[in-house]
Amino acid sequence: MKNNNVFVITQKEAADHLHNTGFLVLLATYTAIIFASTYMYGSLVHQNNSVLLSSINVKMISLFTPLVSIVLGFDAVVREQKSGSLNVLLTHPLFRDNVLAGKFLGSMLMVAAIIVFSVFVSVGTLLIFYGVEVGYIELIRIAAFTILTFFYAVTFLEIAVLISTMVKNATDSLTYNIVIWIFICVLFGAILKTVVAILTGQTATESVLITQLLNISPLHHYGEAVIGRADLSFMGVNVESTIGGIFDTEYTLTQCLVEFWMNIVVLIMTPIILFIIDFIIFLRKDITL
Amino acid sequence: MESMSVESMSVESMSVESMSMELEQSGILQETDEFAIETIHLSKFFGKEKQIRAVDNLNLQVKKGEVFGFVGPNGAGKTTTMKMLIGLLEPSEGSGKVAGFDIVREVINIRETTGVLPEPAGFYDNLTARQNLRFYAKLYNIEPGVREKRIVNLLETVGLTRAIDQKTGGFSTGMRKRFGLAQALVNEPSVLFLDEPTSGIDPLGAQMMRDLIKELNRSKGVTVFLSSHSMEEVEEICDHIAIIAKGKLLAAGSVEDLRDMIREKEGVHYLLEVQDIPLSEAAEAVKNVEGVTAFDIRDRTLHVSAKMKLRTEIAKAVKKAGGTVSMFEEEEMNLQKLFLKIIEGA
Amino acid sequence: MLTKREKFLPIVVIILTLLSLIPLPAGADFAQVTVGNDISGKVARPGDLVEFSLTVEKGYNTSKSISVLLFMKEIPDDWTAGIYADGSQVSHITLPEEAGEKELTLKVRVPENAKDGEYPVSIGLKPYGEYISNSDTIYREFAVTVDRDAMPNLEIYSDIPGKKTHPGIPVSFGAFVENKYESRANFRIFLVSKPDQWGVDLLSTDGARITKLGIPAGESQEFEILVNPPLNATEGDYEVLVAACPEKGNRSVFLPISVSINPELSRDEDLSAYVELNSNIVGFEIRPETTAEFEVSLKNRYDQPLKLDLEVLSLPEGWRAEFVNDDDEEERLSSLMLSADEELDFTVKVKPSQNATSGLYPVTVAAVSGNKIVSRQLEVSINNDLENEELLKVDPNPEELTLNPGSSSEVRISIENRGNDALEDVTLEINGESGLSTQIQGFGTTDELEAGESRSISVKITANANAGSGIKEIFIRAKSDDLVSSERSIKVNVEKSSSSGLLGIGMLALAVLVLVFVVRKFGRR
Repeated sequence: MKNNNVFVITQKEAADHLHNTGFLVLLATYTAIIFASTYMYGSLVHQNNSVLLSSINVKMISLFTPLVSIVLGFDAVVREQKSGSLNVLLTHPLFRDNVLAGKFLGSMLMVAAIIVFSVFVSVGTLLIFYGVEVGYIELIRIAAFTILTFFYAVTFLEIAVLISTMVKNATDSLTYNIVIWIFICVLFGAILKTVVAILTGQTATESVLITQLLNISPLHHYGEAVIGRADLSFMGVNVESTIGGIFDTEYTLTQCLVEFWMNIVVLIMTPIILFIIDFIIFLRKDITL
Repeated sequence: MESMSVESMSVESMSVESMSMELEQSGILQETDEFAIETIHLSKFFGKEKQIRAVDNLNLQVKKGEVFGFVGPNGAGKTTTMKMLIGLLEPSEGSGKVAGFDIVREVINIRETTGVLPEPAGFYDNLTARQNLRFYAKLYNIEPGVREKRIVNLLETVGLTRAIDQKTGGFSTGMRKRFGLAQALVNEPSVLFLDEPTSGIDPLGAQMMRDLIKELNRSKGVTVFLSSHSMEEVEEICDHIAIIAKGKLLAAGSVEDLRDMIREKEGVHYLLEVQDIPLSEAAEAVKNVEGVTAFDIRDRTLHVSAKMKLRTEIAKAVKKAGGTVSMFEEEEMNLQKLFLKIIEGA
Repeated sequence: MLTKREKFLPIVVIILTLLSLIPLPAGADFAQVTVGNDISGKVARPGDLVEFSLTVEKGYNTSKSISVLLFMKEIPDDWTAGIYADGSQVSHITLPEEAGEKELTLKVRVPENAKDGEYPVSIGLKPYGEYISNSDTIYREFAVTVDRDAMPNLEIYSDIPGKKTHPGIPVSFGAFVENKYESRANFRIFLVSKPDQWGVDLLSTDGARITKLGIPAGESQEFEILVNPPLNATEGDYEVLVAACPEKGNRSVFLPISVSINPELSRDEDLSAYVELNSNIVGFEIRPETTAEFEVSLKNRYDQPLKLDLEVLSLPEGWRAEFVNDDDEEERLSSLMLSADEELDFTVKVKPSQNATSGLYPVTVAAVSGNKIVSRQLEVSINNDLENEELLKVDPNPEELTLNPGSSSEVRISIENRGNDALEDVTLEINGESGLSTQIQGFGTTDELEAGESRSISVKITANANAGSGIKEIFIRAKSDDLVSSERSIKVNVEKSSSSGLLGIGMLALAVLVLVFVVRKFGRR
């Protein structure tokens, strides 16, 4: 009964997104961005690795994927609360966590659908256009990449929902989300460098302090796990690990997982922790009846 | 589990000493089945030191099948009480049962068997009335065939058949209230909580709503627990009424009971028109009657206040003085006035 | 015949005596010039050129310069004759003040059809000049006796005109030309015939090729006939015909030389029982500029130490051959001691002459101990068609490959230094086409490439993701300082993978399916 209700909410959330014109625009835009960047990138790079993998513009994806999450999640709770529909909803046989879980599942489903759709469309079109030979290794890597991207996106979804739980209206939520997005995806590396430089006088990007502080950014974990780059933000820290992430076909997937398990665990755990935080906040929140 | 809780409730109930006179008189605390809603010392405190007593030691009993009015000014604790009853808020103290389920431990059961029209009530404005109801209905795992039929019936019941495929975003306030009622009825509840069902709507709409509630109660035997700040409304449709202010229950009972209570507290007021003798003489005569507390002559009418019903005695005293009583009326104690008085008193 | 001779001889003698007597009194007192000659009669065969020498002398008391007019007084019909001074025909001469005499030659050509018999030839000499007041013409008469049976005036012969040799091993014949003329004469020496593909050289004793020999009267001159039978010469007797003839005459004397070919090599290499001279590679095809290097091993199978001299027995003219110690390139070997059972490896470097024409050239090397010899024939095939750049050669393997866009393949490119000198900073240059990218694995530059050394460099060729399909070419060449190898190409056929195209369509379909599934499953409300 309880699980069923979570599913009902999930379905409603998903349906709401699907019937939203904005969602379709989002899907089209995101797919176009991934495709275009991949196509352009693919014609530029000639690395030792698989052309298909190295043509995927991870930086661009890491920049835009959070926006998808933000669009899907920024008003998840605050909208219901503001409209009073949460009041009504909660009088029906389900708990608050059901509502939250259902909303998450619904939005996660959409995130997954968008990412899978975009990646498949981009890779598929690329394959037709380029005629690049692909092996199952590359397909597996792309699958792994899709999953990691999903978790990365879900992290931002959680952040978006968390903010939407805390703020008073949707506009505030969107503003805060965009600020966080700019901070993490655009400025984090540069800010970190600047702050560390000011505080310690060190300007070397390899500084241990920077490397450690980078750990608080989901972008760092995503970038490291996928292409082995410590920071993908603008003018950020330029540190690369020996293994070029899961896109490095010179190493087996197992080797990559061994090397990047911390990043992957963080990528998976962050949404879960955020969900718990979100859940607690939501439960403690007074919902005016 | 259920019986256990009932048992423990009973034990707990027995140990309670201070109860309102009315409830004590009824003497059926243990027969929980008779009540759709029952609270014992239900309290909700807010604030760090629990200094805000939103609901304070509330004891209520709502019989099955009756329409129960919960009256009080804004901020009296009506909504908080309702939230506790449907499991949205956990009581700070005390306990309660709704439809036989504990309001703390059996929230889901309560939600399944009750319908709630909260205030404010919002719906998914991007969905049609039917889609909204379908969504709510899905939460009860109702078989799709039954569900679709019920949706149509409910919307017919509340008079929204025409708007069945319109988005609720376009509904007027009255429509929204009626739709909210339909929404609350989607699971065919045995207990219906209505928070301010007529607030914000025009008089005609309010009347329509009241008729609906009465009809529901009459035809389906649904127990209705409605809160309102309008005594008139409550007076019109409710079998029993509870008056609450500042978290405290001030009065409870049937409309008649409350009137009796008023009489006891406030005495009886009579209006007399006397012929053959001047009013002053008549007043002198009445003044001597034992129990009369005050009199006044206004507009050629004699206003008499008494501690109790003294109609015969007053009439006798006027006759004795040589006057003829051409009109003898007992002034009706309006519940609204009574309500206000009670609240003022509190 | 003799009768004729006997008949004329006294007359000739009388005439000559008279002739000689006549000027003597004439010049005794005041003659300005005197003419002297030793021989005034000669025997010749038809076609011969008969020469008489005479000396013109000033008179004893004359110190002034005197000019003399020379003319033919009498000559038989169809005969030609002329007076020559210092090799050129003259009609008059001047005897300067200080010079006393002048040598003149009377040359008489005997026609081929001249009948046997004696023919007189007389010349006249008339002095003239400002100091000559009265002069008498002096006449001199010569007699030429034509006798067809007379012996020729030259002989050509060889002490050993027949020799035995082996295919490819040259054999030398000593030969002599004898001048039977009374005077020094030049003789043409020429090859008349030789077997096909045989090489015959006519050499002077000092090794120069000769066409003519100048021989003093009555003497003989030695020369050498070097006969080089080809490698494929079969067993049998062969004749080489050499001829000599007087430079002015056309009568040749022939010298047949006989060469017997015995294809069995070791027959007379009596050292081969004790010494092995072997080479694994006996033939190289090279350009004239390059050097053929034969790895040769020499083994002493004798139970005593042997001193062995290394010699080049035969080598085409202008070629050089060296014995090089394998351990030290600078060291040239000429003779060596080999202890019992010792084996020594060395290199025979054969440097052809720069202008050698295409063909197969045998080079015979030998180890010599005393008069015993063991030889080994090495072949150098000169091929001028081999390209010059091939001193530095690149060779890709494979030369053609098929790639899908985005995929890559490795091509091994071997760079070979085929020259004689080490090359420094050998760089591999790759010229790709758009759509293809190449990456040299490791270093594209080799610091030093020894002569004959080759290096393999791996090049990764990647078809870019957006490379159009079709055949594209990559050009590679190696470069060192100023030496550039010829360009080789690697053909890359870029083929769009149809399987990935299908996969792409599959993924698109899957993407749509995912969307449809999500919409159908979650889209209803």
